[in-house]
Amino acid sequence: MASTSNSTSSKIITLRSSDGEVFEVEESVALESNLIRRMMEDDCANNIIPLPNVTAPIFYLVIEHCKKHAEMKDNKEKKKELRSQGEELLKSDPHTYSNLMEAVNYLDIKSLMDLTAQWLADFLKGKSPRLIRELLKIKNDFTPEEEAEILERNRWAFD
Amino acid sequence: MDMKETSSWSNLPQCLLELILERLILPDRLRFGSVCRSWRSAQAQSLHLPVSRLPFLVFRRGSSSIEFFSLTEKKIYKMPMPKCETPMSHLHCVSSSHGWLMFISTKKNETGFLFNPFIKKCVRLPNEKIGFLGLDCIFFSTPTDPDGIFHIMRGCQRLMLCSLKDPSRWSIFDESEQGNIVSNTIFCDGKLYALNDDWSLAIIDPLFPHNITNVKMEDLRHFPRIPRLRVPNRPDHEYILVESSGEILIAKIIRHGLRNLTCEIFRADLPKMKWVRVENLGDRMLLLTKTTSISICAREIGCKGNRIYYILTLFNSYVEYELGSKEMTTHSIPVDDDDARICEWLTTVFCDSCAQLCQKVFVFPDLETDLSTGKPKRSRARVKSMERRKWFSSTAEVCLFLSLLLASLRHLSALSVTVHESECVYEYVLYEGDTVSGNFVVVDHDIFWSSDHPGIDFTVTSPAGNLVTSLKGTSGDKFEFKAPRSGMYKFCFQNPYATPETVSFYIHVGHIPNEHDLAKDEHLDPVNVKIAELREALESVTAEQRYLKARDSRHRNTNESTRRRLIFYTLAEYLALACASGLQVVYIRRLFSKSVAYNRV
Repeated sequence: MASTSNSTSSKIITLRSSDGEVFEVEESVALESNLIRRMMEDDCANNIIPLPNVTAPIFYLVIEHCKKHAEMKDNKEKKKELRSQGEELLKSDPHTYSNLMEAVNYLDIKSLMDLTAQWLADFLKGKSPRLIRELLKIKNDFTPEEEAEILERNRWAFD
Repeated sequence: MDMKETSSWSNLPQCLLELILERLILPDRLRFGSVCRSWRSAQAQSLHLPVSRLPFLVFRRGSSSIEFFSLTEKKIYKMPMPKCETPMSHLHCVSSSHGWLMFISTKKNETGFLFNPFIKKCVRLPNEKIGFLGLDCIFFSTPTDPDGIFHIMRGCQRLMLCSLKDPSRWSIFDESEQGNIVSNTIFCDGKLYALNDDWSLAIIDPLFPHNITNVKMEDLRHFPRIPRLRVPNRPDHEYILVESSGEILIAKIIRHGLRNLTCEIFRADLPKMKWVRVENLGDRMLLLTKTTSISICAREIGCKGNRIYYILTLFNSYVEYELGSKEMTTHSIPVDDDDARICEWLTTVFCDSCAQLCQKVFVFPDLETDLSTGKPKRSRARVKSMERRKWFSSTAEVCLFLSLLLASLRHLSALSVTVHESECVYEYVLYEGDTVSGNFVVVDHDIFWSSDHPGIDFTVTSPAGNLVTSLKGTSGDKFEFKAPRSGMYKFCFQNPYATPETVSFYIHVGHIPNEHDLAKDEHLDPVNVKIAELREALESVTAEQRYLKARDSRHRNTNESTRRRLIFYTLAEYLALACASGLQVVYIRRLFSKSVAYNRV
């Protein structure tokens, strides 16, 4: 995906997030997103590309991750750093993390989608549903009967 | 704020949740599904996602539950035992296959049952006395499938194939007296394999259990050729057959004392009747006991490959043996109880996944319609299944069917099906990324009076329900696509007109194995892949020939109908001409006779 990078690296693309903030991003970084790539192919590259579903702080995070991910390709240290950063975010601010996942999905950045999903999966491993709800601040929207039934059906996995 | 936070997680789109689910093992998936409603529905919809086969060690403690030690998580899960009258002390867990455990009772007049702890189903074994030791069972389909067939191998002498029509009745397909089977049985590429005491490999076709082919193999007991000091069948040597990515392996386990062992792996080279030593299993890990042998892809479950796991029942521990470095590690299960007894390896397989196995052996088109007209449908075993397929219900029917099959094998071409409104064919694609190719030609059913048919519609639907390929209003075409995921693909023919049409079709699933999946000598890998590629290329040539042949027969049909029409028109013309001449003669003769009479007057 990023293999098209350095030949046209000087080109700068301007993007606007939903709350009106304008970002200037190198083309090589922006092209990681399939959404922006498709927009460029449809020839709206000269203007500012609007991103109505992404807020500025989230978009900032995405760009940061994109850059790090591009650097990390041949660097194990960077990979570790990025991973620990992701996990830190997941622990400290799960709400932002879910927004980040959504934004990455909207922008269609395959590599980051895989990474964020992997981090979350690693985070969920071996944790009980109650603990997951507590840590990720998810509201339990099951009725007590439903929950009891779910527990009963696969009791072995919950002990 | 709190409400907003809850919604952000539960509003994640299904595709993202699937990405996460893909990366979780089964117990984690179940826990994932009980976090909130939207995650639950995502988990319920994600049943098509491949579940990696988790290795569990089964052991028992007390009487009411069996426990599972998960090798990947190093964690113990507890499950209740099914309710039964037999006290636990009389029940022995002897074997496992595809998530099912086989319990045998030592009490008189009792046999035992099969139990799947993951779906909590229990099936009684037939009341036939089976014998006690060295039993293993292999399923071709789940035992709860009403038409399923599964197989029990008796340790010493006889083979039994059982089919379960309804939960209360079992029938034993066959007991064979040939050979003297000493090893466990494995199921590989539609055949059963077991080792006889004279080191011949018995190959049993589950369709013809009477026909046992024995391939005399090299005797591994003399391998390597060193002078033997002890009795030939030394009790400290154990041979266990394993099926691993389509290959037949044998594990030779040499016990040095009670706790130490070494292990060697050999691959069966059937044409040469030899065993070839395997130095590296690649990505595979083998779970072995006397009766059960399981090969798992280690990468999928986050374990290290090239390892052999073997149970030391006496010490409540299992051995992890690394084939490369020949290092052995003994792990004991963290149970402090003296009661606990390890019994068996088990892997999680959810009931649906067994469809894959069924397809491998027993998939045949429905012959019922053709039996009534007395015209055998041209068919190839192991290729296609019709929508209205009916599994054989009696042995007589099976015989009739097989004889028809054999008769049709000689002039074998593609399958054909008569389409009234819509007909669907299913084909199971085993691996992601396989190339599915094929073709179909409308061989007109009755073209004599009808005008040219506008053609039929053809659609291919993926297991997830997406449209993969569709062709509209064609009289025949070729198609090819790469399967985005494994599963059951649906091929449908739709006939927009009332006249029934016969469609001749051919579908081929080509698989070129990934080099990592093969467990054998490194030098053979590229050769094998090349061979697979060549095979695919040849297959495509054959498919092309079939397509041309089908088109040829279609043109023949057209030509014949044209000829018939021509003859009819010619005959009609002759008739009309003869009539016209006759009329003319009559008219002219009347004219003359009248005129003569007129002249007279």
